[in-house]
Amino acid sequence: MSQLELRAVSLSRGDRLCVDQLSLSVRPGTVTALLGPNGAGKSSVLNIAAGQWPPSAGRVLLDGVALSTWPARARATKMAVLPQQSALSFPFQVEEVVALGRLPHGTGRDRDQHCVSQALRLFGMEGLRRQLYPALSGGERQRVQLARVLAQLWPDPAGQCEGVLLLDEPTAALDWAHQLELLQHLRGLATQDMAILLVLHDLNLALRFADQVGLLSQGCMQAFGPPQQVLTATTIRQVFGVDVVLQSHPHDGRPVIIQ
Amino acid sequence: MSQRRPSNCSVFGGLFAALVLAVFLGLVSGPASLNWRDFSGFWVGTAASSSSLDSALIIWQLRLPRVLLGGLVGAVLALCGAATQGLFRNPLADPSIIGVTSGASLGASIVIALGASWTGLAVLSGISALVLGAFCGGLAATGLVYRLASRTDGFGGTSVLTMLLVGVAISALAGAINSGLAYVVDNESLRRMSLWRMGGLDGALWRDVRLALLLMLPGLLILPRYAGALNALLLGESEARHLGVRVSQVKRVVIVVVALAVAGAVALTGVIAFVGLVVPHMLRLWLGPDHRRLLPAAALAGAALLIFADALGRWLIAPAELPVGILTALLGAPLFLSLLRQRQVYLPT
Repeated sequence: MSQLELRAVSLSRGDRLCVDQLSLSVRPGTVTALLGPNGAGKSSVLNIAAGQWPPSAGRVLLDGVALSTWPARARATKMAVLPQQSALSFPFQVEEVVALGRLPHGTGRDRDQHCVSQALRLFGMEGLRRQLYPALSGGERQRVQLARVLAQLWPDPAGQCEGVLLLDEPTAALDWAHQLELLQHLRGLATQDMAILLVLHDLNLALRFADQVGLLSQGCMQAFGPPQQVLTATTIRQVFGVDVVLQSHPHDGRPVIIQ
Repeated sequence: MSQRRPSNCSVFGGLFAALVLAVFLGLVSGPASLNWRDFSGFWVGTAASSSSLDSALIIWQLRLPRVLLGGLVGAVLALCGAATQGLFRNPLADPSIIGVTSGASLGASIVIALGASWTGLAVLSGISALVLGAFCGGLAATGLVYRLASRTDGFGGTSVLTMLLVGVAISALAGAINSGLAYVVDNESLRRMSLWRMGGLDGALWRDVRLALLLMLPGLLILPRYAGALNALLLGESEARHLGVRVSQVKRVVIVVVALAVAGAVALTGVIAFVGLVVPHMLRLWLGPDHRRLLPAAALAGAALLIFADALGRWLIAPAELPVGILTALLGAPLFLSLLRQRQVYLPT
């Protein structure tokens, strides 16, 4: 079980402060969603958490050890990252792309094959395993990339998972049904002790599936906590400048945001 | 568009057979025609008559070093081409993109322009001034490209896109100086310059083979070890980093190794076009982009292609011979075009 901690991190690029003194802890067994308007610093926070950009101040700790001091390969077995878009244009087959997720592991061919098949099955991509990646649609590519990062952190045979999973807008190219399905899968993986941090735009998805949400605005964490406490009509008006109504779902009574 | 990849057995078996065939043709073809008996006599060591003694001499002193040099250079060019295309995530890249070819050309031209009197100066342990000039020119150009493309602001290190553009600029600059030199030198030097640029294996000696081994063996041994990292790099640099690849180290090693090997290849044989660009392409059509198979397959195919093209060049207009650089393009381009027509969807979007 791994956990990721951001302690008072800041990031400035040029004279612009993208992230300001932000603290965040991604614990095993939880799904944490980052929400906020465009340019609020969500992706910057995710990139700092991923070790992609060194913070200008503050610390990032993976299992209590500074992220930058982790050996590259050991870190990759504990943490997987899905960026917003991928540049892959070479004619890999779908299963070859997913198998790239096994690169940091030395667990042998059989185990790799198993993880690749399981990850493909989870996203319903088994039928496409020999298709060429560049020939797929945007949503299919997104699901292949998701399967790749999952194969990187696939739980061990005992169902235990060591991983921290960081996803930047994983629902962006997905249709409605696949968005729901993805979030359900992420919930399932969290129950196997994965620690998940993702950037989302859909407040209702966050309300329904996240354990904790962080509401960002201008590089600062405006509110952090369980979604039903953070996502209120007041905070949403403050951060997004939009008036909304929260109502109970007619079937199960959970809160739903209506514009 | 669903397909099974060919098995390792058929790929490497096929390529190895092609290489053996090419080596055989390379040893028997040439102005003095050898028959099967001469050839087998050479290997079994039953050179009884004087004519077979001659043929043993021809094979041992002339053709074997030529075939070996051709094989090494072909393997290096194709292998380095595949690695550069992977590193730059660009199927149009080849080793010349980092300036090594144009730099080596310029180095060679400078030595030719300075004249034959100068050549006596630098016969360092049997390395001619021409080889030395071309080798240094290639390395200098690559070093310049790498330095100019490096960023120091902590975000991203050396961007491959910047390097690609800097490489284009430096190549253009070297090309211009090269043409300038060609314009001012006398006719004899001009002919030597343009012949050198066509690339050829004529006059290959054991000395050249040893030098080639020294310069190219590191590349042939080191590059395949980076196959997994190059695969990850095709996803993008940050993705590769998240997969545990030390991206800047991989970039540095691949560029240094490619520069050394290709500068060596160009210095010894001149500019042999096409092999570095198209052999990896053709193999990717057949095997897919997985570098764990692509890199060794490219080395085998490049060696076979160059040896075969050289043998053909000696046979076509015997007793004269065509420079091999012309033939590689003549042979490979139509083959490549026909493959492209069969597999339209291959091209990355």
